[in-house]
Amino acid sequence: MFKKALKYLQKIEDSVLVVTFSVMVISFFMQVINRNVIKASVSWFEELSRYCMMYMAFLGAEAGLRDGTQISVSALTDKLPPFPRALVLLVARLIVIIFAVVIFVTSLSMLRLQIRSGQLSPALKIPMIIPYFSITFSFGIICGTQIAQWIVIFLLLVKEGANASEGRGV
Amino acid sequence: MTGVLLFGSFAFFLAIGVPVSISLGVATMFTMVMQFDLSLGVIAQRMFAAMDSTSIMAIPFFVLAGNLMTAGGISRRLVDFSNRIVGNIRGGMSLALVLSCAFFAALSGSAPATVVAIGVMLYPDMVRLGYPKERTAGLLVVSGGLGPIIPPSIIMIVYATLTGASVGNMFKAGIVAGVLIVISLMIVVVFISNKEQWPKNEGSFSSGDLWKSFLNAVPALLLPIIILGGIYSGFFTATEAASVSVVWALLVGVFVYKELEPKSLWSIILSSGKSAAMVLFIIATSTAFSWLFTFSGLAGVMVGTITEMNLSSTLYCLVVALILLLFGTFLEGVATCVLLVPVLWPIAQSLGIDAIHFGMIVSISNVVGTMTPPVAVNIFSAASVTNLSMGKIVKGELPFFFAYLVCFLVVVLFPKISLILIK
Repeated sequence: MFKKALKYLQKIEDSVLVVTFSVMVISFFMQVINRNVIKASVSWFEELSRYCMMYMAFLGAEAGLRDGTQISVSALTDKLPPFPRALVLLVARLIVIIFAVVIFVTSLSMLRLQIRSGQLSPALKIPMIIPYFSITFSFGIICGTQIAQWIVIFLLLVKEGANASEGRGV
Repeated sequence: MTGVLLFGSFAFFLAIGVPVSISLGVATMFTMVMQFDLSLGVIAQRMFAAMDSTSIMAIPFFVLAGNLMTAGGISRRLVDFSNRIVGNIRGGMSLALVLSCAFFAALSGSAPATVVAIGVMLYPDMVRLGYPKERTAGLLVVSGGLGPIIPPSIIMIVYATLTGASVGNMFKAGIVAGVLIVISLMIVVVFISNKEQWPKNEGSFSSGDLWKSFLNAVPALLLPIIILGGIYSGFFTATEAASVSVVWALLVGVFVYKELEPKSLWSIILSSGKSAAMVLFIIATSTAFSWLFTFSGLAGVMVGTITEMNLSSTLYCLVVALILLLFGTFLEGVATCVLLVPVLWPIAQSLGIDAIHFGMIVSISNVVGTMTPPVAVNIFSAASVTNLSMGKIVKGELPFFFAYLVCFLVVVLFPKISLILIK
């Protein structure tokens, strides 16, 4: 049940990524066609692509952090024995969580500011809160997934640690 | 003190395995909390502003175009064409490897993408034919470095965004440097392959086969012409050219080569989105890092120290090259650029150094960083393709790496090389 829900959420996230990326490409290509061939006065293609990129970039970062494909240096941690290595990586993940929580919380006040000012985007005339929300949205998910992963790894370590000390006792 | 905190904490986070992008952000955060009474909201604000840019958008477009090309069977045709040109002399396939990387670089703006696309195609065959593994992997790492030099190029787009230099002119300079590097690598390959007795192909040269493989590669080779021609004629901007190349790659893959299945599009877009997001996210957090670097006065101190040295423009270029190499060894390429260019470029400008020449120094030094441990994306990529350890690849790449460094030095010392194609 829980796994099914996760799979479903994953699908939604993937879809948002693919859709925003596709809209980005199509919209920007339309701008090229429009500017050189059709010459209609449409000014919002470029802005639409840009806002799509924000969602794509920050959500993609979430995916990368979750599956560990974000570039990191493993030369030092690889040299450690398995248990200390796991501990260090747990600390590293904790730092990711701290960063994500701070960005999430501070982005909320950014949103509040946007709501109060009611600013609209220059071309699309949509509330500026929509592009700004990309950060809140993605970092909210980063907080959730990173904390969940942290707990899973932590429990696994505790279990292993308990097993190891039992082994020594015998 | 601020400098120690900022860079020290960054190095620490990096060392314990925090991803590069987050290390940059967290080091900024940490230093702000320890040293300054500032709202942390600035970081999110800067990250947002960094992504609110049209020129940066060229990056995901070029990544997607490159992946569509690979999935559409383009790499194989480029490899085949290269093999027909140079494959028949001793060590010929190594020469073909260099040439394929150069062709692929003209479609893609990224070094690791080039390493993977060409490596997957050529490496297994070369090992089967008796080419030495370490050398081949090493050559792959260095040739992959052509990716960001031969246009289009992600790093040049970032540089042009930061300084306002013309992307078109950067691309022109990239062509010259790229050709220089290709020739140097080929000379080294010919020399080593004769010394170490690398294998020779059995087949003989046939102009008919060459023509056939050329025709097969034409739709792919047309892309750089469309991109560069479009930019130089003013028909479209670099970002627009990037979106055009996505559409072109799609059309060629589906209708001309017929290897790109509409079904696989979803996963190609998804994986391209993720790898582009990695670069974009690093740009976002390094923009915050770079802001604090300037805001805290550190950048000013650095500028002051350099200005006091009263360097001539040539010497300054050398110093910059060294600084960039040093940073590039530990930092990710795009992050180095975002961090240092806003600091180093104003000095260069006051010394009368040309923006394009300076941009070439930045771009090539950036690529060197992708070939040197510990943060060496090219070696990581080559290791994943070849299953060799990092140490073995580093050993194998040495002669080619030195050839690359010599080219770099030549470009640094002779501004004329970067400016040959520009009036």
